[in-house]
Amino acid sequence: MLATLAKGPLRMGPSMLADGADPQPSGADHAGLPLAYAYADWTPTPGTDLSRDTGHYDDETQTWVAPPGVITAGHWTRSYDKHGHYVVDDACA
Amino acid sequence: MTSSVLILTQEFDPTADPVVEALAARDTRVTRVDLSYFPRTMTLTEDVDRGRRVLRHRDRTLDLNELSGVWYRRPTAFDFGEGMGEAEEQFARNEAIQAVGGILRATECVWVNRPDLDAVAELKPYQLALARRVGLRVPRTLVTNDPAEVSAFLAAAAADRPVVYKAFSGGVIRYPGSFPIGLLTTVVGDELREHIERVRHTACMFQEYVDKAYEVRLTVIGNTYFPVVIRSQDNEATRVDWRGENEMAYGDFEPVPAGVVAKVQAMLAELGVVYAALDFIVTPGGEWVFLEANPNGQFMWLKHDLGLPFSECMADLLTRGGEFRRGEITQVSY
Repeated sequence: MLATLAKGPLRMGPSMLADGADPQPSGADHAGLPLAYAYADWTPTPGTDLSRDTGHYDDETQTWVAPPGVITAGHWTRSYDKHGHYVVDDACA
Repeated sequence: MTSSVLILTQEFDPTADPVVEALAARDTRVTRVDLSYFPRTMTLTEDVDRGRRVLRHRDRTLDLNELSGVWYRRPTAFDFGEGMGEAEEQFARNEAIQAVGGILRATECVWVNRPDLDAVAELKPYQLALARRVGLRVPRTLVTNDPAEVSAFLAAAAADRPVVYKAFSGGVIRYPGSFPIGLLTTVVGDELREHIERVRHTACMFQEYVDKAYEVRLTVIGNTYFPVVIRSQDNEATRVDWRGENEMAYGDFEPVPAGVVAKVQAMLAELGVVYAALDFIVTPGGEWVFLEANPNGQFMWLKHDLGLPFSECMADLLTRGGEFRRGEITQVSY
């Protein structure tokens, strides 16, 4: 029922807002995981800038204020967390 | 009288920001809140006898009866803080769902989209059934958690016709130590036989691959259509799923054929949604094949790449007020 009123955060939201804290799965890829995991392609991108400013929500303008380059717009809207990892959003859906 | 618009979404939402700015530019009174503000920093009140409905957050007081529109974008769940145990929080959550949902739903204005309708509209098997019913071609599709059904589907597929696996929910895949990443639509091969028992773990969707000349992302805001041609076949990385590459090859503007428009309008009317972003394949023979509808789909990337006026169109819809009706459409070129 809650799902009809609230949605999950945007994919990049938790890392932007909670310093990279994001729910982690229980283990590596194995037969006990859903089929989707057999087809997931993942290339990790190491952090490069530990002091990156990811911006903040401005209650006055009611928009997110970010330094240049932190959010780039594309169909994968890309943003960076505080450790310099980049994060992509929900890709259109 | 100045219009008043409520936007329900999280604080970090790059798609919402340009709409907030477009509304502010026309002196619309904008109130943007997340449901996670409730109950700790946001109050909601309804005096049923007097018909008074008020939302307060920080220094903003919003008369819900004055709203011309609500954009139900991406609000996140209520946040009750650390003081409650699991049982108490479940009680508080159930109470909040009834009250917050009920008070907001009682507003008489345009909702983009109504949460209850939005929740149903995003169910992909229902979308496909409905699309077929209104006369749109859809790929041959199997939805199941039964490995035997998958084996039979693969065996029945034509030898020259691949089968793809796609996730229903955007394919959020999380790995240890990683950030979440999407799962692209994938052509399956013999390796699926090795993994076939994993179909049992949850529902899976398989589709017959449809040959493409190009694809169309059709964003519908009210009765305004924004069809964008995506030349997905120009790049090997985007041939099966155009999300496979961040640099997009766009084609020249092509209006949606009248016959397809009529079916899309019928489908959206049945779903009851005001906004949706739909994906189509256009075959080498020129036939439009419906893939899916995203009732809360993103549009900032197209605004950024092509300069399409999505934000202004959304702002127009939210400030117009009154009941929305599906009717004659306008197609926007680029």
